[in-house]
Amino acid sequence: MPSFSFSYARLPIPPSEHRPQGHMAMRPWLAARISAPHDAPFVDCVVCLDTGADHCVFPLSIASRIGLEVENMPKGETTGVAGKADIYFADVRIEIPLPPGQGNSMVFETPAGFVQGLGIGLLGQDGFFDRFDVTFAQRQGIFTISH
Amino acid sequence: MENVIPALDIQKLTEGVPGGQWVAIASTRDRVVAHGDTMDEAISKSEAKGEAEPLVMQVPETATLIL
Repeated sequence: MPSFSFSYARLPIPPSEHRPQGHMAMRPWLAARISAPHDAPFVDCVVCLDTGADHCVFPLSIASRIGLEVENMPKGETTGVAGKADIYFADVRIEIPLPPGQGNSMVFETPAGFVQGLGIGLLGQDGFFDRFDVTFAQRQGIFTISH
Repeated sequence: MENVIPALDIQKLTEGVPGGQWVAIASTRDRVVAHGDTMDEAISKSEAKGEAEPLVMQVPETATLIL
């Protein structure tokens, strides 16, 4: 089973009253290419592997850029830490490109949601973690995706 | 250890870009080509500079912790 390891993105969090010395946030982020199935337009966006997300979710702006008609998409409601938001559903094609010489890109299709207010995409349980085995080894600074 | 695919250096890439801005990162992943208030604005500016397939994200607010 091929597996690919990625370094965590590191974002410094400045000092605060609670943590006067600040600290480094470790985020399992990578680049992914999002498109509608069988369609050419795509958007490359940063995504987070989010084990707490029920499904894959992307910024709403991506929907129209990849040729989806938001007004005709099934609509629902989702709840996150920031509260409730409208969510619009569609099937998408997700490609996680790999550097040259490291094998073929990981490509899969899945139902996904689009939400206003997201700044990156989220790869969640339905659509991603049900397809790939993922090992988080934050102490080593890497996470590994196997498929 | 197997090859590790390096992470984007978000801190370095987005240095000087205000939190909340959308950035268009070059396909070489080594610089921000453009930024704007919206994803569409960032991509449009990037396209105008000849970078038609940028990687996009919204710059986190500096002190934001994600729950």
